[in-house]
Amino acid sequence: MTDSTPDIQLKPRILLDTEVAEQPPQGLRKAVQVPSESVVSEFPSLEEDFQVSTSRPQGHSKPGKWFWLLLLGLLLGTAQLGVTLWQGWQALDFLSMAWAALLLTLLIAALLSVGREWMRFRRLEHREHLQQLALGYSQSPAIGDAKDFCQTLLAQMPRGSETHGQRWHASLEQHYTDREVLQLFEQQVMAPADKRALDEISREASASAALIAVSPFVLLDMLLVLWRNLRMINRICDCYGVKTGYLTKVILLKKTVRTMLYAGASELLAEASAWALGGSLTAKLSTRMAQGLGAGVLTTRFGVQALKLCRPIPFIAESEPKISVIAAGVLKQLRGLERGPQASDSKEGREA
Amino acid sequence: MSGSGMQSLFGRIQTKAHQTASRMADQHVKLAVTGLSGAGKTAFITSLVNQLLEGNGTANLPFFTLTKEQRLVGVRRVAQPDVRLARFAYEQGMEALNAAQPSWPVPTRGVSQIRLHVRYKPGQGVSRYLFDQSTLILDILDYPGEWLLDLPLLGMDFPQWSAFCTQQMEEGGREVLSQPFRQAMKNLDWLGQENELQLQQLAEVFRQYLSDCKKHGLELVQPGRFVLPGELEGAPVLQFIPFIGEQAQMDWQHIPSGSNLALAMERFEQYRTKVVKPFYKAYFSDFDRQIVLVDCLSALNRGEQAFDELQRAINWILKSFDYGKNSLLRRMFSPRIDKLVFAASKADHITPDQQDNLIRLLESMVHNARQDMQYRGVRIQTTALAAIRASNVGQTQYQGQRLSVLSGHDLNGQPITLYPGDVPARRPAPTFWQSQGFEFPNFAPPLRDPLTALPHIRMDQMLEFLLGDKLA
Repeated sequence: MTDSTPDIQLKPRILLDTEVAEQPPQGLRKAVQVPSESVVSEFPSLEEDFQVSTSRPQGHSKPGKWFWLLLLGLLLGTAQLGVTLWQGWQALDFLSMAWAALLLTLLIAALLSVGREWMRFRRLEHREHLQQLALGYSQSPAIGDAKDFCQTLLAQMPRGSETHGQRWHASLEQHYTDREVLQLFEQQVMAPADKRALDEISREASASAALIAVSPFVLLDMLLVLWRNLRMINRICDCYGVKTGYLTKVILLKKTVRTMLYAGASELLAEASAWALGGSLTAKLSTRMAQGLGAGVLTTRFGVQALKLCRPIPFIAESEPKISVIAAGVLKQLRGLERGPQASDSKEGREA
Repeated sequence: MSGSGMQSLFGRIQTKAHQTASRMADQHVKLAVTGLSGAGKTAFITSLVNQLLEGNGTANLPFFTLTKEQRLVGVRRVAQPDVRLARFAYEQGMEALNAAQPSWPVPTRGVSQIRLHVRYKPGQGVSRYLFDQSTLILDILDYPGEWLLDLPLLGMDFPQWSAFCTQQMEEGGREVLSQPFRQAMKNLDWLGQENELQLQQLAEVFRQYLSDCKKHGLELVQPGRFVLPGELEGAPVLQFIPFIGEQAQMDWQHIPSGSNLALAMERFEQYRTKVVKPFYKAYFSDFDRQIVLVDCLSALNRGEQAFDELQRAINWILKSFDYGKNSLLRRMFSPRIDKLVFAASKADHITPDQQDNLIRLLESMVHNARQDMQYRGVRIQTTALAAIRASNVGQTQYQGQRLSVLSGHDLNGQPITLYPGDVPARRPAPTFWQSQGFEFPNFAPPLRDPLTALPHIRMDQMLEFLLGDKLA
C-alpha cells in the first residue's frame, strides 16, 4: 500500500492508488465504476439520524457570585443540619430531630431546584451558541453537517413540531448545501413556531393595552403589565421549547431589557419618528387609550426581543417580525374598545 | 328598473377600471439565456417553462417564494410577440423527455421565442391592496450558442480578426486541424484579380476547419454562422476567409480594389453589419435579467485546450457586455440587466459534495468579468444547477470508505452507477491533464411519469433570484 506517502488528510484512500497523489492541489479522485447492488439507501431515516446527532456542543457560561454564595450557604446548612440530626439521635432529642429533618428536606428541595435552575440557565446560554452556529451554517455553500445540527434543534423543539420536522426531513435533497438545509428548516419548522409566538405576542400586547386602558390605578397598571409580560415570556419560551425556571426568566427579562436599551436604541429612534409622524393618530385617542397603546407597544417590543433570544437560529431567509405591524393590530383592537361603552365608564372611575 | 340598469353600468365601469389598472401594474421581464453550444440552453428553457407550468402542481420549488406562499394563480403560454421567429419547441422537447426511451431536447439550429404569462397574487406593496391578481410577462429567447461568439467580432476589423485567426491556428491541436486550410491558402494570390469561385472553395475549407475544431470540443469558433449558417446557407456573405500570412508587409490603407483581399474584407464587413449587428440589435437589446450557462464538466472532459478556449470564449462574450468601453455596445445593451446568474450546468453529473468545487471553478473562470460587473452595480449569483436532474445520489462502500455515487442511465439507456471523480476548484495544472484527465459521465434524461414536473437541482433558487422581486 502507498499509505506511507505524505498526503492531504481530506482525500480518501482511492486517491492514493493514483500516480498524482503527491500533488495536493491536483489530487483529484478519478471516476470509479461501481456495481449498482452495493448502493444503499439515499438517506438514513429520521430515527437513525437522531442517534448520530444527539450530542450537543457545550456552551460555557459564568454564573454570578451570588449564585455560588447561595449554593455554599445551602450546602453548609445541609451539612449543619445533618450534624444536628446526628447529635439529636445521640441525645435522643426527638423534637429537635424532627425539626432538623423537616429543615433538611426543605434544604435538599431548595438545592435541587437551584440545580435545576442552573441547568436551565445553562441551556439558555446554549441558545446563543446555537444561534452563532446557525449563522455560520447559513452562510456556508458547502455540504456539511447542517442536517445534524438541525436535528439537534428539532429534538429541543416542543411537542407538535414533530410533523413539521418530518415535513422538513422529507423535503431535503441530497444536493442541498448547509445554507439550503437551514433555510428549509427555518421555512418548515421555525416559521410555524414563529407564527405561534407572534400570535402570543400580539394577544398579550392587546390584552395589556386593553387592561391599562381600563384600569383605574397606576400601581395596578404596573402589576398588570408585569404579569402579562411574564406570562408572555413563558408562552414564547414554550413555542421554542426553552424550559424556564425562575432564574432563566429573570435572566431572560434582564437580557431583553438590555438588548432593548442598547441594540434597540436605533430601532426605538426609527419608531419614535414614525409615531411622531402619526401624531394625528395618537391625538385622536383619549389619554387612557394612548397609555394603553404605549403599554401595548412596549409589550410588543418586549415580546419580539424575547422571541429573538429564544429562537435557536437567527432570522435567515424569513423576515424579522415587525413591531409596527403588531402595534397596528393593537391599535385596531383598542379603537374597537373605545367605541364601546366601557371605556368612558372606566375613565370616570379613574378621575374620581 | 332604471336603478338596476344604473347599477350594472356602474359595475361595468368598475370592472373596466379594474382591468385597466391591472394592465398598468403588469410587468414585463425579458430573460437572456446565454451560453455556448452544448451548455444546455434548450434543456434549461424547457425545464424553466415546465417548472412554471407545473408550479401549482407537482413542481418541487421550496425556495421559490411565489409557490412557497401559494400565490401563483397559473401560467400560460401565449402567442409570441415576434411572429417572424420560430416557436420555441417546448412540446417537442417534452415529448422527447417523456418518451419511453427518454432523450434530450434537440439543440437549437435557429432563433426561437417563447412568451409566458405568469398570473399571481401580489404579496406585498401597493398592488396588493389594489388588485387581486397581477400578470408577469416573461419572454425567453433560444438561439444557437455558436452565434453568440459573433458578438466579439463587432469590436474587430479585418486585420485584427486575421491576426487573431493566424495566432489561433498555431495553438495546440488547432495546428493539425488547420493544416488543410493553410495548405490551400498557399494557392491564393491575395492582391490578384478577384476570383469569387476560388474564394468560395477556400471558404468551404475554412468552414471544414472550424467544424473540425468544434468536433474536437474547441469552443472558440468564429464566425459562428460558418458552422451553423441557419437561413444564410450558401449566401456569399459567408464566403470569406481570414488573411493568413505576414501582416506587417501588407499596406492595409491601400488595398487594390477588385483584388481578392478587397473582396474578403468587404464580405467580412458585410457579415458584421448585415448579419451580426441586426441579429443582436433585434434580439439582444433591452434584457432585464440574464443567466449565463457554462458547461464546465464537458470542457474538463475534453482537455486543457478546450477548457482554456471555453474560459476565453466566455470572458470574451462577457466583455462584449461591458458597457463602459464600447459605445456601440453600450447602446445595444442598455445597462438594464440588473441581475445576473452564472450557472454551472449539469450539476447532476457530479456528486453533491463536489458542487462547491464546481461553483468555485466557475467563479475562478469568470473572476474578472464578475468583479467588473459587480462594480457596475449588477447583482450576481454564482450557482450550480441541473435543469433536468438525470441521476440519483446514493452511498456505497468502496475500499472500506464511504463513497457518494451517482446512478442513472447512460446515453444508450444502460444503467450505470459510478463515482464521477472530483471537480477541481480551479484550473488544473498542465501536468495534471497529461497524467489523469477527467471523465465525467453523460446521462440520459430520467425515466419519469409524464404528468409530473421535471426533477431539477436549484431551478427554484434561480427563479427566485431572477424573478422573485418581480413577482413580489
